[in-house]
Amino acid sequence: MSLDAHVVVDRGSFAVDVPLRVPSGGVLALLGPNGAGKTTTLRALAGLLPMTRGHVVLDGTTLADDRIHVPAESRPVGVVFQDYLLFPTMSARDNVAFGLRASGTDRAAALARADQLLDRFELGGHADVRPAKLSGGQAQRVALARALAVSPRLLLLDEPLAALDAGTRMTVRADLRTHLDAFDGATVLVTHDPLDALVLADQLVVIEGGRVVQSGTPAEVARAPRTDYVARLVGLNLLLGLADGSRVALADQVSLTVAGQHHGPVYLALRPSAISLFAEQPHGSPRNSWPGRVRSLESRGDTIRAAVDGPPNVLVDLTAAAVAELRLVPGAPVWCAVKATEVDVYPV
Amino acid sequence: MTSRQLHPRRGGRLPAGLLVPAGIGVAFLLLPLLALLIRAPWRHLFGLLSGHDVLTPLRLSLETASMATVASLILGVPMAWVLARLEFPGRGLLRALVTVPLVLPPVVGGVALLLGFGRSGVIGRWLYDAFGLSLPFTTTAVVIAETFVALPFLVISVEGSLRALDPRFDEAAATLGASRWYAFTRVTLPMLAPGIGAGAVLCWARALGEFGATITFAGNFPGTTQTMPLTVYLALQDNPDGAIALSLVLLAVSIAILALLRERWLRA
Amino acid sequence: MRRRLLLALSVACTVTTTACGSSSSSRSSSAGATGPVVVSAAASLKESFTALAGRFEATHPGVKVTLNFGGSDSLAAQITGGAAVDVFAAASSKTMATVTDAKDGLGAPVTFVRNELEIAVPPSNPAHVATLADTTRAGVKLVICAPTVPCGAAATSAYGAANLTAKPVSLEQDVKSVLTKVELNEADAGLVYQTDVKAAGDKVTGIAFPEAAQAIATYPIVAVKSGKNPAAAAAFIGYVLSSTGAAVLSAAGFLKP
Repeated sequence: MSLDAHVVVDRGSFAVDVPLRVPSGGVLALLGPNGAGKTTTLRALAGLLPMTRGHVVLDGTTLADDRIHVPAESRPVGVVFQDYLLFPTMSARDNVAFGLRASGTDRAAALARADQLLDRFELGGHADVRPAKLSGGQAQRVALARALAVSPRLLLLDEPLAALDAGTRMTVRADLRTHLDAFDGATVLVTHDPLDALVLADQLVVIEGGRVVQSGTPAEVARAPRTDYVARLVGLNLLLGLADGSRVALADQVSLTVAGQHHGPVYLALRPSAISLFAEQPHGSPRNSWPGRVRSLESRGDTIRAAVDGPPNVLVDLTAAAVAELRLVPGAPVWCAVKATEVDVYPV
Repeated sequence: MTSRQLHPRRGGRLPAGLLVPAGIGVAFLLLPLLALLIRAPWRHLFGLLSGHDVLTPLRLSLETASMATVASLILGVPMAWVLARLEFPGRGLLRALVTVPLVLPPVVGGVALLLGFGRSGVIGRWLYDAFGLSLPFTTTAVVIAETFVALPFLVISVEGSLRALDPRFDEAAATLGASRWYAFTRVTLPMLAPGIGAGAVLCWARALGEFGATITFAGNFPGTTQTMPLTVYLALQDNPDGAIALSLVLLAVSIAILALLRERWLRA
Repeated sequence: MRRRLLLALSVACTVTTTACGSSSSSRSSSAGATGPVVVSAAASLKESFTALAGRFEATHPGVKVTLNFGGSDSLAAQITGGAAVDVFAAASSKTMATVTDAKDGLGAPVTFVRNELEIAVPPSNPAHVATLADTTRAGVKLVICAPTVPCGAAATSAYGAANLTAKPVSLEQDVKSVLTKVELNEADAGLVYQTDVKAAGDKVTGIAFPEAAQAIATYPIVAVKSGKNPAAAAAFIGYVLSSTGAAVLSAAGFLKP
C-alpha cells in the first residue's frame, strides 16, 4: 500500500470520517456534492489541517496519528489547488523550481530541472512567462509541474479541471490522464464531475455529509448508484424499495414489477430514456404504469428532460415532437410507463 | 422639450452635477501651486538660493525623511503583519492606537514626544540618567518626530495589502516544502512590494513635510534640526522672496521623488 | 470725514499725554471707544497686557479687547500681510520698522516701556550657571530666541558686548518658547526678559548679568491702519501710556521708557 489513511476531522457542526487506501501508481477520485468534506479530507492529507483522530501513513512512514502531526512543509506531498495558486511575481520556470529551491537545491540545478519538466508538459516556450499571461490550460500544467518537481510520493489534486472552460477541459483531461499514468506515487483527486472520475481514476469514493456512502471502480458506481446524488450525477433515476419476489414496494404505497426474483431492501435504477409517457393509462406489455404531473421541462440538446412527479418522482427523456404531441406543459397530467426488464435491481 | 444631455462615455452616464464640484476641487488644489510658480522671483532665484544657505536644510530634510522612512519600514511591516494576520484580544484597540498620530495635530504629537522622551520625560529621564542621552535638540529627535507622524501611513498601507493577499499562497508554499521564513521572503514580500512601496512613498512625503512635531520636540537650529519646512516658515517673516524660492525647491524635490518612485513601485 | 477728524484728535491727545508726562488720566482720550479691538503684542507683554486689557474693558464698557501674542517679527509680518489688527506693540524698533516702512502704521510709534535680559535656569540649575560666560560653556544646553525675533537680537547684542560666542541648541520663535524649554528642564539656560522670569514665578530662577544693560530692548506701540476700530485703538494706546498702564507695566518688571 502506498497511502493508508483514515481522516477524521470533527469541527462540531461538521464532521468528516473517510478511510482511504491507494496503491502506488493508483488514482483515487473523491466525489461528492459541495460541502461534503472532500476538500477537508484533501487538506488533512496535505497536512494543512490537523485531524481529530485517525492516521495518515505514506509508504510506511507515519505522517499523522494520535501522537504526531508532520507539518505540510515536511510531507512528501504535492498539491495542485483548484485555482492553481501560481506565485504571481515569478515566472513559470521560477514557480516550478520553487520547491527545489526551498529545500536547498542550488539555483542552476533547480532551474534546469524546472526547464526539463516544462518541456515534458510542452510549455518550454512559456518558461519566462508570468502566470497572469498563461491560459487556463497552461496554468494547470505549470501547477502540476510545480507539484511534481519535488518528487512527491502523494499527489493531491483539488478539482483540477474546474477552472477550465468546457472545450479545454476535454483535452486537458486526456493530458492529465497521461501524466497521472506516468506518476509512480499515489494520487487522490477531488472532483464533482463524474466524467473526471471515469477518465482519470481507477478507484472512486463517494462522500456525502462527511461520510463514505459508496466506493468501487467508477464503472461499478455508475452502474449501481446507492445515493440520489450519484444517481443524478450519472443521469439515473434511483428508487429505494422492499422486494418480495418480482414485486418491489416503494414509498407512498406504490409498487413496481421487476424482472427476476429479489428479496429484502433493494435499489431500483431507471434510465430516463427507458420511461415512456402517455396521455392516458396505457395498456400493453409494460407492467409498470402510474399517473403523474409534469413538474418541469428542460431542453438538453436534442432531447427534452421532463421531471414528472408520481409518486414515484422520475426524470424522463423525450423528443421535442413527443412533448408537442402530448401537449406537455408544467402541471399537465400524464401517465408514466416502464418495462420490468428496463429496471435495474441491486441489493442495498 | 429638448434638454442638453451629456454623451455617455465608456458606457456610463455622467451626472452634470458632479462635474462642477470636481472642477472646483481640482482648481482648489492646483491654483495655489500655480500661484507659487507665477509669483516666484525667477530673475533673482539663483541669488536668493545661494544667499540663503539652501543646501544645509535641504540635505538635512532629505536625510531625516529617509531615515524616518527606513525606521518606519523596519517597525511598520512587522506591525502590519501582526495587525493583519495575528488574532489576539485587543487587536482593534491596537489598530486604533496606531492610527492616532494620523489624526493628532502634529504639535500635540511634539508635546507628547517632549513629555515622553524629553530630558525630564517619562522615558527620557531614564535615558539621561543611565546613558547621559538627551534627545531634544538633536537630529535624532527630528527623525523620531518624523517617524512618529509618518509610521501610521506605512502601517495602514501595508496592512491593507496584507489583508488583500490570499493567505493560501502561504499554504501552497508550505506544500512545496518552504519554511515559514522562506515563504515570507520569497512569496509574501514580493507580492506585498507594491503596497510597501506605496506606503513608503507616503511615509517619506509626510516625513519631509513635518513641521509641528519637529519644532516642538527637536527645536530649531540650522544644520542640526532646522529642516526645510522650518526654514521656509522662518524665511517668510523677513524674506518672503527667499521663502518662495525655498518653497519652489521643496516642491521640485517632492515632485521628482514622487514621480520616480511611483513608476518603480506601482508598476505592478 | 468725521471718523478721520476723531482719529486725528485721539492721536493728538495721545501724543500730548506722553509729552506732558503721565498726569492725565485715560478718560480724556477714550471718547467714543466701543466695540471690538484687536491688539497684537510681543510675547513678553503677555501677562501685563492681559491685565491691562481686563482693566481697560472694566473702565470702558462696550469694548472687547482681543489679544494676539507672538514673536514681534511674525506679528509684523501678519500686519504687512493684511491682518486686520488695531494696535501693534513690538519688542524692538526693528520689528516695528517692518510695519511703518510698509506704511501700515497710523501716526508715529511711541516707546512705552523698555526691558532687560536675564538668564533663566531651572530651579535645580543642573548646569550650575551663574554668569553669562557660563551659558557658553561646552555641554550647557542654551536656548535663545532666533535672531529675527527681538529677544534674539538683544541676546546677540549682549553676547557681542561680552565678547562671547554663544552656541545655542535651539533658536525659538518667541521668548515664551524659550521660557517653556527652561521650565520643562529641557534647556539648562535660556535668555529671556526679566519680566518673563518674574511672570514665571518659582518655575524658573533668574540670574541678572551686567552685559544686559548694553542690550536693552525698547518697546514701541502704534495704531494700525488696517484696524477696524481706530477710536478704540487710540483709547487703548492712551490707556497703556497712562499712569494706570505704566503702573501695571512697572509692576511686571518693565523699565520706564
